[in-house]
Amino acid sequence: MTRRRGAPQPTRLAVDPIACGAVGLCTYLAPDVVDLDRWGYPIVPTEDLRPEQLTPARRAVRACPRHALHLLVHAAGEVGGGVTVDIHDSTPLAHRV
Amino acid sequence: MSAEAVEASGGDDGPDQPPRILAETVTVGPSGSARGLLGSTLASEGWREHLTSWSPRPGGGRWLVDAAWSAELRGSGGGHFPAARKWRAALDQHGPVTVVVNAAESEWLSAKDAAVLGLHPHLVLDGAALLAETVGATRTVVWLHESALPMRRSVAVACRERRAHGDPEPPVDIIMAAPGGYLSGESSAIKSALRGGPVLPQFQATRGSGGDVEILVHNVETLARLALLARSPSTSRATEARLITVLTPGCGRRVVDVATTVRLAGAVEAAVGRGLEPATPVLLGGYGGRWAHWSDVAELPVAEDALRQQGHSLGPGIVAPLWQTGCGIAVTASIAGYLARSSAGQCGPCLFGLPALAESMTRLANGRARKGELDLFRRDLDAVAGRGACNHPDGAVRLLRSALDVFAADVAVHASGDSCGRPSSGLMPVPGQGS
Repeated sequence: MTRRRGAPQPTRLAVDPIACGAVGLCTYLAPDVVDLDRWGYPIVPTEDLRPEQLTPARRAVRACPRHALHLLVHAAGEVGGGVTVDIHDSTPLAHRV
Repeated sequence: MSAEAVEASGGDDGPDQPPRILAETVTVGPSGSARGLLGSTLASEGWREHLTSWSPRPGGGRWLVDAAWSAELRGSGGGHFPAARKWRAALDQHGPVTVVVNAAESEWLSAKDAAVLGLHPHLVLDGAALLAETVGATRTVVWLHESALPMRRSVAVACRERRAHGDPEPPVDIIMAAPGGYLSGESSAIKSALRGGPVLPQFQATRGSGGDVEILVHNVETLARLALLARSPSTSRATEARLITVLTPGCGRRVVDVATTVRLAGAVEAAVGRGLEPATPVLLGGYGGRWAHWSDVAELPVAEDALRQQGHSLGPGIVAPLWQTGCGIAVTASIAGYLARSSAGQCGPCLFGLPALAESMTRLANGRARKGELDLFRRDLDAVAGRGACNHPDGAVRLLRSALDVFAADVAVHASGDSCGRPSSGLMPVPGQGS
């Protein structure tokens, strides 16, 4: 199946709370997507990201030194259960070529 | 304390009763000793007795998936997940499968798994073998707390008997790796351990999607029900009964197996032989459960679906009344402290949030609430909910939110710096509280 560029699939941001060490880069890079609780741990939207949130969210995912952020792409109509594809885009920016 | 004793108060099954795992009320000593349940007074059902009580089991197979699906067999550990859905996913993935009998009860008040595995090990092993045959499992594991020596003995003796009687089942591994903590019976922790990792809950990005099924973790009761179901798949009402653990006035526990149509009042009556005052607060589902007013729930059936429709749940089947007049805020604070100490300490919101919540509740109980304490408490509840890798922090949030609701009048009194004047200790058996 081919997908046109610019037609984003429903995407969610998820935190691996075990990996997360409250470093806080995510909220610095994506202040409109990631909030922090009073202990410094990220709070992410529970619903799908809005189109304008995708780029900052990706930036935060790549920058996380603990690889604790993940973008989850849902098959259409499967939000909130069913099959979810984890694109696992958590390679740190510095390691990308 | 180890004052375990068993009373057999004869089950009088009418013709309309669903088949039950326990025909009698099982009395377990004061909480915490469930892990050492099988004292000398308590005898496991041997192979011969087992065959007298129940017919020989059939072989497992695809038919059992359909039978479990139509009978709506669900997990009895608290998740209430349809068992057959996990099995279908396991069959679809074509890899080797491990079946785990989870007997490491995490919920402190629960005694049902110890009672069933202790008294009817063959029924549980029947269920495990049936499932192993159905999904073609290459390995079967009985997962126990490290201190559960009597249960280990009961299972080991049963396995030896089965081998001696030529049962062609694959051997069962008994693993006692689970530390005594709250979370070592959590299914992602078990899966991690069986893959050679730590006995700690793991993060699943797609929690609840059933994607991780090469290790099938099932509660003891679920497998015992499966063993009953398989014996008469078309007519069986095996899923129409439920094991309920009731906290007794003396902080002991009684386990009864009742039809799911029985009211909560009937279950408490069956277990302890007396009723409850309508105004009594009851903790449903255990320390990770919810408080309720007895008058709101006494007439509801113990069926989990019906309870959930009303916003209640018995979790792994627990009814814990506050038998003596006491301060609900204080007992909740001590339970919250226990839950905070039980955190695996892996996730920030749980590691920092649960102690903060417990401290707020303790200050409230002591009439020392700070300015804005309740607002901060509510914000912390929102901040913790749903943000751990496992459900542990969610259980704490559930408990505390229900306390704000059920003890609302007391919360107001305590928040203004007063005390309700009711006793604050010895109300429930909370580990580490010396009660």
